[in-house]
Amino acid sequence: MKYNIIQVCHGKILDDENDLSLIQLCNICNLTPELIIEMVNEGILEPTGESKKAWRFSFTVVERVRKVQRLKNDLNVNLAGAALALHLLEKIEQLEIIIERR
Amino acid sequence: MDFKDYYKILGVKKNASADQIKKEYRKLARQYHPDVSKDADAEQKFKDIAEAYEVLKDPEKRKAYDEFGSNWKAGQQQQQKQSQYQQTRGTEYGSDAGFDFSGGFADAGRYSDFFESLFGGDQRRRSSARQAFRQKGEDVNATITIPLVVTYHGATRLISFEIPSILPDGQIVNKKVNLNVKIPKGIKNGQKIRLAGQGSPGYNGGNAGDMYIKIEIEKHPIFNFEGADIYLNLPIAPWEAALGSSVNVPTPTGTIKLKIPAGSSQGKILRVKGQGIPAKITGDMYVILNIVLPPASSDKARKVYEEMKELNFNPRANFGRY
Repeated sequence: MKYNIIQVCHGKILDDENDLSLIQLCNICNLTPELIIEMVNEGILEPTGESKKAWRFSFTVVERVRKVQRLKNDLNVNLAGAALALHLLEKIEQLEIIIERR
Repeated sequence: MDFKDYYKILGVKKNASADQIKKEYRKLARQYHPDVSKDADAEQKFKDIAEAYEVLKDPEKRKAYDEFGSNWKAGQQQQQKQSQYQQTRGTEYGSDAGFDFSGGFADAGRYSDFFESLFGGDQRRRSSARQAFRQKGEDVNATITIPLVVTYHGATRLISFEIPSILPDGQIVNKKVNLNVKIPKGIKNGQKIRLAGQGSPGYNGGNAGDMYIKIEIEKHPIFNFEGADIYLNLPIAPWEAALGSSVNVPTPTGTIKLKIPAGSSQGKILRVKGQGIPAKITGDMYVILNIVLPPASSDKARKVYEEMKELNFNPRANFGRY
């Protein structure tokens, strides 16, 4: 009997319970802390923790940060404009889920 | 390789001004940006649009493209034009493009063969490979689509993808990678799995990038889902709703008996605890009652409806108040 040994990769599910510090988030997104801080000030990201050192982000913000960067770069909007677009896109998504459920 | 008509892609005339080109680009970019558009081919369309703008916004590139375009059919000067352009512009273009890995879709993908034949390869990447920086490799994103039932049991899936890696001389090669990925039980639609270190190799001794696998749950013919909860539209007969009954209801993994309370109305939602996706916090199944009337197409059915008339039921009773 011949066995094929298959190597299986186990990943980590990224959900709201993963905690990222400001520096870790910067490394994952390849951005400077200043840009992330701006996004927090704009209300795009809402970390837990009082001081910047204690800030903790969930992994789901990585996609959010990237989306904001893409909107900024490709559509030439500023951060406030990207935040508005993001907010409206999320609203559309929620409404689409409600429509589908009917 | 096909000729790409950048003017046509942006919908502008050949003599369009820089302002017109910018305006049309912005308009199309808003429409087809992959973060905004739901079109299946939005990403390809947007890449074409971005590439067209990349060329037409730059007077020198536009001029080179115009000359190239008028000679396209002859096709002989192609090689010569290309090398000319690269000799004069190639290196400089690479150095100012620098290190922006935070970029958008416009510069995330590689340019078309057509673009590269005219302006040379992707100098942005090449230039960054030449820098003596230690840099983390790029992250690789992939999507796996699974049937709903897989999230109830978990599964292993083989995925194949190509990772661009940069050779020491700056050339880009695509390396084919096969990976068996464990899809954990209880994963929700849209969640991502992170495989640390499975992305592109790092530059100059930097760490490898990570691989992100987005899980998409296939649309199911009868179940909808949101987060860990699932929703089922349950058709029931009027007497089942009025008198109460016990009906067999499908779940993603089997069947359960569900008690319909007497006097249930159209649209009533019943919660079945713990039958949702077995995530960390197990979801519930919500059953939405949908009362279906039997058609009055037979004598017997007509007779029953006639008899019901005698109930003197007026569904519009409260209209009189307005």
